[in-house]
Amino acid sequence: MNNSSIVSLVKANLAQQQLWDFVEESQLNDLDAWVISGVPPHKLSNDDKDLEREWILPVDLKQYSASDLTLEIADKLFAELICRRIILGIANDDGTVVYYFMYKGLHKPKKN
Amino acid sequence: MSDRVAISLVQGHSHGGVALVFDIDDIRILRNLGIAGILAGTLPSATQQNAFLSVPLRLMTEEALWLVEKGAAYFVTGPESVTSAANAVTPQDMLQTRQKLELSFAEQREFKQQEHVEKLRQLGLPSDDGQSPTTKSLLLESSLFIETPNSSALVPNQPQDPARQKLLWKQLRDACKNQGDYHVYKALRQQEYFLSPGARFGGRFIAYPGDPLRYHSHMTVQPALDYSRDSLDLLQVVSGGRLGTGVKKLWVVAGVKPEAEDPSEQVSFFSIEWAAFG
Repeated sequence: MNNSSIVSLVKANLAQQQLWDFVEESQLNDLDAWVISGVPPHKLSNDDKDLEREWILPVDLKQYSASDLTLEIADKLFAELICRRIILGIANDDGTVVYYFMYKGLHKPKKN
Repeated sequence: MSDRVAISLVQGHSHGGVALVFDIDDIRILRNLGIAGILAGTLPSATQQNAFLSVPLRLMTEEALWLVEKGAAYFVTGPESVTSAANAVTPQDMLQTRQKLELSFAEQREFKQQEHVEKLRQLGLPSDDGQSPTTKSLLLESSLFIETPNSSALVPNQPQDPARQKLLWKQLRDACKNQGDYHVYKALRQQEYFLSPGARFGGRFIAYPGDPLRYHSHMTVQPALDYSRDSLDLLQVVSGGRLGTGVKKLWVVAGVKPEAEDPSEQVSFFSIEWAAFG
């Protein structure tokens, strides 16, 4: 999946709007895709122990065509990054970005 | 009686059928197997009733398929199963049924008489209220009732034709709108989740970590995707993820690999949740 066109958008959103630190982009070996890593300004979930480096996958929300993110690709992503969750950074065509946690397997809902 | 559950398959013209269970003891067996089902029976006089429903228990197609596949249940269907059961009735059976009925009448008569005497005693009236014995017996006889059982005593005793069972199973399987859902169902059952229909929360299944009477559900499971061909619908991720956060459920997507050999590796799950920022 090729997401190079929105990497800078999501990266800027994380750094400038969400105020994340150490925001960096990197290209995956296995897939033709870019991921962003960074550290959030505060804990993202009550279940998290400490702040840690998070991985963000920028994906393009296209209204009239399907995304190219299959579950097989998601599995490959988890295999390469070796992390407990990936954050989907879903970029809309108006420049807004929304973020969703994606866990591998069945997971419990976060505590409030 | 066998310990296998009788699933009545009510068949329409164009689909595999609706699976119903009428026997209350069967329903208990199902509960112990981890299947809650949905009670769907109303009183004939209150068809709009939507709480405190009774038998029959309606099962999801996947539940019926799973039960029959693992040998815990069998299908009963069509008028032919009733006719063949009726043809198998011997005069001896008829006599027995008649005797049972008479026995129940005798019990009821005695109970009602005692009740009547007790009532008169409480009111301080003489036990002979002046009615003629014929009137008394007519009144008594008209108050006896005959129970119409919810489930047949005859049909479950009929031998099952394995070829027909197989055919019904295949028909039901082929009628599934999304063929992958059955694999998802089996994978979640293997992990001891209780499953119920998920339309209330916009999914295919709702998964409970144990009996729904004791646990809240954790997950809304989406209709199965093909592992390598179907892509994630991001608009659905957004709407489902937000709704799931609102009702404290994870939005679960499942990818099915039809060619996988090992059933435990056939389905790959991912849990999605709003990240609470952005």
